[in-house]
Amino acid sequence: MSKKLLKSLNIAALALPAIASQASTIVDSVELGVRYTKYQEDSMSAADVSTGSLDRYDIDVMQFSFVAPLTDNIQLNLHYQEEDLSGASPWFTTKNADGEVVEVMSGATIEENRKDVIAQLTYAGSNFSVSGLVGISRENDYEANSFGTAVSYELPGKLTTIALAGDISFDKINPTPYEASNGTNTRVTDEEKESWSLHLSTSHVVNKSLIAQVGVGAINREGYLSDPYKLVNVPGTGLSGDSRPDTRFATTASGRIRYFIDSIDSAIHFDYRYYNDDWGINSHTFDIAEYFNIGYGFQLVPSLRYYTQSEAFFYENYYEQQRADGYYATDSRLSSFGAITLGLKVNWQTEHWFWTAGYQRYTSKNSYSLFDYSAESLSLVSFSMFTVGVDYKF
Amino acid sequence: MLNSIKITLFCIFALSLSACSHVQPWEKGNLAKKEMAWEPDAMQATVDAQAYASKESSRGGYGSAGGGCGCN
Amino acid sequence: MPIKLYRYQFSAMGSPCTLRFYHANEIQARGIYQSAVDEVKRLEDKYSRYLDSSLLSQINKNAGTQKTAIDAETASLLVYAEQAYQISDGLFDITTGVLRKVWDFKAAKIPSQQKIDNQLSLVDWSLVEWDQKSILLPQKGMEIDFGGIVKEYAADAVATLLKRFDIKHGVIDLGGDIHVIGPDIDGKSWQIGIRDPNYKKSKDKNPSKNLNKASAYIPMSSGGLASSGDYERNFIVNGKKYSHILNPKTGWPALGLSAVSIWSEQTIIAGTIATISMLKQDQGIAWLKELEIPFFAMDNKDKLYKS
Repeated sequence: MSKKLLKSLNIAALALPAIASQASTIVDSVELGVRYTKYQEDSMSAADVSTGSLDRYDIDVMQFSFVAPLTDNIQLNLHYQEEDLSGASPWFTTKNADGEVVEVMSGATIEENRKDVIAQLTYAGSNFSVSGLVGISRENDYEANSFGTAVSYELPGKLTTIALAGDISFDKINPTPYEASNGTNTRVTDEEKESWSLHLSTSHVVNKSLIAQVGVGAINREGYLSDPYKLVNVPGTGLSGDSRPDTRFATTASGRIRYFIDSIDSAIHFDYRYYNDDWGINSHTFDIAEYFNIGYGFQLVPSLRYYTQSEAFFYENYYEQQRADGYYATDSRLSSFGAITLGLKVNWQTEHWFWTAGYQRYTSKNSYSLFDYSAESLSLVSFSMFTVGVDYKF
Repeated sequence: MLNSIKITLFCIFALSLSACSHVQPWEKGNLAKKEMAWEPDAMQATVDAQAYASKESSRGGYGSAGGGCGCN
Repeated sequence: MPIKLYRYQFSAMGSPCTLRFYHANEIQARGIYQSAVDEVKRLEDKYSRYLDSSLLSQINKNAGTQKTAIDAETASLLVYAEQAYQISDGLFDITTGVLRKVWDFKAAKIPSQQKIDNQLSLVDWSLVEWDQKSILLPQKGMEIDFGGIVKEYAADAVATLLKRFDIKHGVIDLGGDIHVIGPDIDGKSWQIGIRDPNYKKSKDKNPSKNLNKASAYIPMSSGGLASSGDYERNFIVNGKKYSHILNPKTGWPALGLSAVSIWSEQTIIAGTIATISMLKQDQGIAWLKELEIPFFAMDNKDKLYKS
């Protein structure tokens, strides 16, 4: 009982402005960071593929980050990312001689490069912060320019923070032309997409070892939302372009907890997200990770993530009938499935350095879904991700 | 004489107090620790979110949904 | 430039203060020291009961007449004081100070019960009307003071400030309220001197010198240390010691313990717990053990206790 009372005194002390943890304020020195990630998808099973390569995507990701205090109140964050992608992707589904649905993979190996720069400025006052960001992403077939802003405000007492974030993105899609046998380009050109999102959250310091956050969000997408590289076998018409609604509105609700357990010197992370959109996708995401401090600055971080979604209202693995609304997509990402990610990370921290190395294994299956599913989709993917990185704080 | 014994005793207890202070971690400012951040490794979180968003039909949820890329 | 230990002494909040820390640049170290002094002076100017211009004096002057507007920092100090009041069942009461007007420690005289009772009617934190924006002491003559809070808070504030300047090894001492940032440069703990409660009693001739005389050393490498004791100001009548630590419920000095030192992550908490344990008298030790907070203490029979 007394210990509990002492904790309430601790919370009151933590709320004092000169003692309060400087969580939302400016970094005190320049920080540099670099990460390399190798992302590797498992090959398709030969039995599921009629033609094309069995190999799927391999992606090398390099990331660089630079964070610096410009004044006592202003912080600059720069993030540069470059990705090199190669491999093949599912193209369309068809039926083989035995009447089984099989996948046709994109013919040649795709080679892609993406570059992405994000610059963010944050101004932090004693009980609030305001930030603005600009992001530019470039690929040979896709460019995106985005702008974001966020404000956060600490209520008197400094235990509760309210944050509002919004962003908007203008995307241009110019897929690599595909010449059909008659010499014409069957792919779309000069398509556009516009999206915005809003997110409102509140976080609360429950005690010295527990902080919790709840948030709600909305995401709106408009324009060309189909996949220009996918085709669909439409009964009576033959191979047609993937065709999805040109608006998509989603809402999210989330809860996050960070809890420190002194007896084992470790922090537990628990995240939950609910997502719902007007394409009929409902999903639940559970994330749990534990940061074990094992001495000498080392940290061991096992993690488990479970994701499950329902299928889009127009999704089919293979269409037997025409649809009145004209929407067709056999993309397994719109199917009902579940995915389990197991991860293990090792961090090592010294006064100036932070080293990290981690491995994640992602496995997705229709049978992992909490929602109903009509047929097994062939192109659900499993992948491995290996990341190494280092940060240096001056 | 008595006084000097007292002072000696006081020193011994003072030393044992400090020993205690090292094994009393329950009171430390846990929330300030890096591993208690919402995202202790922002770059890793970016890549993770991108990988998941490119293979799943959901996105966003914890902050702004982030800018676009052709990866979906 | 090689990293060096800098040591600065100054006087603030009625106490000798010392700042020690390691830094690689003398000019920058000097600047950091100046910011630290500014921070302590800022808190002194705001919360000293000896300065007529302080916000605290303003609050006390407005007692019984009008509300005084307060800022967020003052509001959080009141929240803290309220928590301390709660966890001590009303023993830690920032309205207790007015009792000093009847307990004259210089004259070394026990006041009449009548006088004490009259003054006690002005002591009750629960009567104070306050919120995030303002405070009103409901009766004329009522006073609050942040003794036992603000000097400790200042030590924590300076620690926060030094950490912001990336100082990893240092000791802040504001008149015995200590905050340690990291171990000494060689990785060893700092030796923090504390006074033996009996020292002054035995050699009362030159108190100012005695104040600086350490009788024990506590090795510390982080956190705050604060002490409370009846040795700071007291008088003895018929062999009984009357200390300046006054009980807001009875109006009489606390008896039972003669010195308590507390370690906590924050100096302000160490100071509050030390004061409450003194006020708890014979129950003080048991209470500290229940809190599982590192402490050591001496009772009025010179018996020693520790966590």
